[in-house]
Amino acid sequence: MAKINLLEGKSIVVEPEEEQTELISSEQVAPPQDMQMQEPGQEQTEEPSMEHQPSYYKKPLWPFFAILGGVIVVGSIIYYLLTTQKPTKVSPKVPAPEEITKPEEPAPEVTEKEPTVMTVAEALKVQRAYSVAGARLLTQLFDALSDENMALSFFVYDKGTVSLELLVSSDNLLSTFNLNLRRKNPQLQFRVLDKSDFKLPNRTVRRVLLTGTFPAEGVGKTTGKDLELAQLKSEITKLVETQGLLVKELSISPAVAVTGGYLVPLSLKVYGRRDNVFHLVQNMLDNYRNMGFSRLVSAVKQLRELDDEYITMVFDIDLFTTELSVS
Amino acid sequence: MIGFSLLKNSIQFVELVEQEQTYQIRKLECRKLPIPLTLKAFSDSEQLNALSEFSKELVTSAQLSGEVSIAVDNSLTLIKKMPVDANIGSQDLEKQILWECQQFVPAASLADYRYIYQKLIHASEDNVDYLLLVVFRQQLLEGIKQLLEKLGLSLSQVEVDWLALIRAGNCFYELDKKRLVCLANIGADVIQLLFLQYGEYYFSHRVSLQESEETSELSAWDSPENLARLLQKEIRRVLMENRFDIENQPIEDLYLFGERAESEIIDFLRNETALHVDIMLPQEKLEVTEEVKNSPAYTQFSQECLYCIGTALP
Repeated sequence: MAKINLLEGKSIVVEPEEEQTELISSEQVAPPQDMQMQEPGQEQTEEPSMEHQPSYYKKPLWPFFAILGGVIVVGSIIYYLLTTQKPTKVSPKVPAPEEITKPEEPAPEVTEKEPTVMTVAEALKVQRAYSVAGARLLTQLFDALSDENMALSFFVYDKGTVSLELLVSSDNLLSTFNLNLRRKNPQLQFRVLDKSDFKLPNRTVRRVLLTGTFPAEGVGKTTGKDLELAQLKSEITKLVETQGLLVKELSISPAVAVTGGYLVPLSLKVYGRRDNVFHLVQNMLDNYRNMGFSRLVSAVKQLRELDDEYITMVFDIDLFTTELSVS
Repeated sequence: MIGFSLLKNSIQFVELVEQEQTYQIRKLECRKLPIPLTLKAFSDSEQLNALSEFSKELVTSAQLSGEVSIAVDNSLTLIKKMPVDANIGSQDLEKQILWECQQFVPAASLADYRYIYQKLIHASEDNVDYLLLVVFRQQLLEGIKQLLEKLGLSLSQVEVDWLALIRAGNCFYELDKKRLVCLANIGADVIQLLFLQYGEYYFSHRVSLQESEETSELSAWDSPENLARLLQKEIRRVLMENRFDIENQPIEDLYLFGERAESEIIDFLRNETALHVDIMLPQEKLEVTEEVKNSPAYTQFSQECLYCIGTALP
């Protein structure tokens, strides 16, 4: 390595601060010139819309739009699925048992898939490592919302990657959010995919689509007990209710054979206060050592203002077991 | 060539003279600082005067003169390995660097900072380059310039101690390897681990013995075996945190140096691990004058002079 001579260092060029607006009406919202999206029919110029973004987001354009399109489509589907259920007023108390979807207790089938190369222990190790990182990131993301004019409308965690939609009253708050988050998790490589306006009932805010990657954390915790298939539903339901959350759905998919055992995919949808949902995520990891999250999806049910504390969260869980028998 | 190192707890210098295919150590000095070196030593005139008085004694007795290259303690700077698009433009890169700096430096004091970066040549993958970004306070440079002026020496270069160490290591040892090489500085109260790949900075890790999970009693680390176990554990932990498959032996060589790099630790690690473990003593690979060989600095502090040797090298 050649010498890095500090005497040749450069000053940090600080861009002037944007003016922060507290409440913006839809009329007032005129995206800064460097962020205005092209009008239909307008000719593509050499200076495209996201000028303030690094050029590697612009060139080439097709992968950017492919990713953006993909994220929007996935996000819309998730949002649609999460919001099409009849809205229910939910108290943070334990929900009535009849509100809980109770599909038939399955005797898990085994799919005909070839056994994977990964053993149960290896697969679980990887899954737990990412789950611990995902749970930590989830809390960090919401902790990064340090201002009441910031909100996450949806969040998708998928084994080392995260996509989210951030609503902020001004672009300055995006920097604040990034700053808050990177302070907590400097390893998170985070970038902006898109910015646009979003209408709330009383005002218009900025909607920012972000994506990021983060590394797994160690080998993951191995605390807790093995969650048995036979007690799976009752145990999880009890845990969810203890947190004052509502189980909207709990389903078990056919088991997949892996070397030395089986992987049973579960899907759990809960609704309730954000903090309680986070506790549930952590409690599941702490209580059951043979499971991990393959995906976590969170969305605000009906966003009317940025300080909505109730969220819906879908947990895609992989349960690792050596036996399939259900007593 | 004169190399100075201003470390947290000590100050050292070496004068190297180029010889046929090697260098000769003509002067060497090392002194413990009365108080740990912090950024305040470069901003507070009283502390700066005290530091210059302390250093002047060394410089005068050694009759040093000429241009000096200085390695400063890494704790006075911020070092970050930063992924960037391989085709990033200079303006965008500046914005990216600002973004990175904004993650650590309060916005109000950003203007007080400076940065410099270098591309890590062997770290590039697909369309991503990795830059080694060094961010530091302007005040640090001003303080060093004043110090050198008071000492009657002229300043040619200032660099971070770790990078001087990497240069010394690459010059005297074969560190250019695909698998990782770990350089472990075992100090009295801290262990610093520097991981290299292809002889370049890869990542670093710092373990404070006082803040260790095991015990806060520094006396517990009097035992070389305990220290060796801690080192082993921390290396394992940092590798796992960086997503290395530890079963596949990601480290090829482990070099120890520093105040507590004792032979018992090396013996323990050699017995317990499959690693190639060795002590790093570049001065053994250099010519040394008899006068230096017999000096207390050489006999007592020879393991701590890597940084000043590294920064003295061209």
